[in-house]
Amino acid sequence: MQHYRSELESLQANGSAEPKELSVLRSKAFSRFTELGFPTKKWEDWQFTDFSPFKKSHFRLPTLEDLQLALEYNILPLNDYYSIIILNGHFQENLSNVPSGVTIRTLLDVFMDDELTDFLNAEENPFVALNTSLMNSGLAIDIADDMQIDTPIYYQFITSGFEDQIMNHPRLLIRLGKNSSANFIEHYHSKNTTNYWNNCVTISELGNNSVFNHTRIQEDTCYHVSNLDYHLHKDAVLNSTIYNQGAELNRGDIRVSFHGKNATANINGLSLLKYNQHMDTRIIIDHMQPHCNSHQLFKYILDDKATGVFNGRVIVREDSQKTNSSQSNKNLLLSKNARMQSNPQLEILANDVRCTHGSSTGQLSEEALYYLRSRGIETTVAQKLMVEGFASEILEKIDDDITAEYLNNKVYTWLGNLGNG
Amino acid sequence: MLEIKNLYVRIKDKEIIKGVDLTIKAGELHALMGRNGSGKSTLAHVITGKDGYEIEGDILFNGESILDKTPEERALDGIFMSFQYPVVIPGVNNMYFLKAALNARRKNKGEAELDAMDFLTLIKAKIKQVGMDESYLSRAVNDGFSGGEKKRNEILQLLTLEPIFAILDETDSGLDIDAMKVIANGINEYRNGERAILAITHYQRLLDYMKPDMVHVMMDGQIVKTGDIELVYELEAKGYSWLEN
Repeated sequence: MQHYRSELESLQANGSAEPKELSVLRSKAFSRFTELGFPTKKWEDWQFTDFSPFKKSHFRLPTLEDLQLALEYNILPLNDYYSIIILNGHFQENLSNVPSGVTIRTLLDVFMDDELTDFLNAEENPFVALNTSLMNSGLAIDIADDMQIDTPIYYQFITSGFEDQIMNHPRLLIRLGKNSSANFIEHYHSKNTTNYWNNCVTISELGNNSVFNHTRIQEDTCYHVSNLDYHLHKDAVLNSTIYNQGAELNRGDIRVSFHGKNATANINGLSLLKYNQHMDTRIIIDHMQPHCNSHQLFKYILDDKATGVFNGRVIVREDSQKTNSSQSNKNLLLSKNARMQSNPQLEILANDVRCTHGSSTGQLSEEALYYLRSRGIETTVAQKLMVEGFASEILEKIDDDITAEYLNNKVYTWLGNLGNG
Repeated sequence: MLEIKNLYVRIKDKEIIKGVDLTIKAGELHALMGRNGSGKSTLAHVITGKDGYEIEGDILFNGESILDKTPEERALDGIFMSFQYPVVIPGVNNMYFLKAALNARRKNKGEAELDAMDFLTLIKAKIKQVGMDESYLSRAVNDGFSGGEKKRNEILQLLTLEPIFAILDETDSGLDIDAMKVIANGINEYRNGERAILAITHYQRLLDYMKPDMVHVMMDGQIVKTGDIELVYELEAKGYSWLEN
């Protein structure tokens, strides 16, 4: 813990530009973090993941000097998109452009504007506490009321060029005004080869009657921890797709809270794991209001000795009648040594609701494989076709064709050596 | 073309096929009839190369034993089976699947692979022949297809892949009369002097359309009777019990 404390202290010492309130918040969050500590095997919702690398490693926060390490990085060219770029923890205003009606402010701006409360999301989660304490690349993105933004806003968080152990605690706050709609792609990628860790918190607030299409693409290669917190107000619609690939250790917490009636959350996830990679997802859908819908489909594809965890909980509170909820977790094991732990749960306190949940874990269907082979298709090609087919159920839900195509290619490339191992 | 020699097949410890000899020449259509569980489908799967069988005897295709070949190798040699229960493959696009299968076969024959445009032209012509809507091309393989649509999709594959030898495993079951005509027309379209068919069926109707050269009856793992179309009418009238013992 000591090195996290010294990182905080140097942040507070150097950040003379930061308002005092922020410094106070950081200290407060850090005490919370030290009270909680990193999760252990005894913590019920965390027991299947080994968090010891965070204790053992000595990560540091990036400085302004680290920015030049990433300048050579080939930023994905998506010309037609609006763009928000963070390089090695630093927001690149000159590389970013957003349409009118969308305001981007740094963490500092937000504190100057005294909107501290929105950033204070005290939880029982030590990673959120640590993020609050050390947040180093925070952005608040506000989308005004009655805005229809069809062109995606493409947020890239890029880590590149470090030779020592680096950590970032990005904080994103996205607020969608009433009657607005937006497509937001949140993408973490890297060419870093040393140990590094991104500990992310993304809070999205969907105003009345807004539509938020959110695609989160996680391609960090080392450690990735994320907290996605969605707040849906009356009549809001969330379409979220969460793609994960490449991280050695990945913990993702997702929480959806309904604050008004008739809101709908569709959340889909696809995680690709190989080697000794580990991914642990916990999702909580909190139906605090009646007449809301939530639909989840999470898929894992696991090869080699990879391990996956899915913990899902749908809570339907006492007065949340007419809730319609489904939760499904489907997993494909491509190797005998891959393991999946799945635990979908329902907690229903209302009586007039429709809720389903289910989970299945299995290998590629022998029957289907035989059928394809009987048509002259090679075993490895047939396997790839079937795995791509398994993944496509998630990817075809992505509205934006370029993003869907990008991820289809990712899956295809990931499958490259399938059948050889 | 196909020679089955003294074939015995076991699944685990159960003997399913107990000494079958069968020769099918190019240009011929053989019908294989018999009660459920008599070993007809097992015979079909053994020819196409499904795993999990213990096999004695031999199966020659154009003079060469195929028992050591994989299902895909046999398919590339020109063996095809229309499945009794076509398999649903979620997420795999039907057209993409057909194109992959056809190009695998073309590549094997030393022909140029078809690109997406040429394939589309070809498949649109073929799909008309089996009376299927083009929308089935953009759906996942057999996913949400009715029984009849699945069978049409099998015949679409037959017409597209143009194998040398086709096994039709109860392709006519579950079809209404109109659909059966379409399927029979498709099969007749496929037939020529260089190709052969083994049609497994329970019904006279499909055979009325297709005119088999030989009819075999299978019982308890053996071919107990062989004849011509007259045998079909006899079975229709008398059932199978007179063939017992």
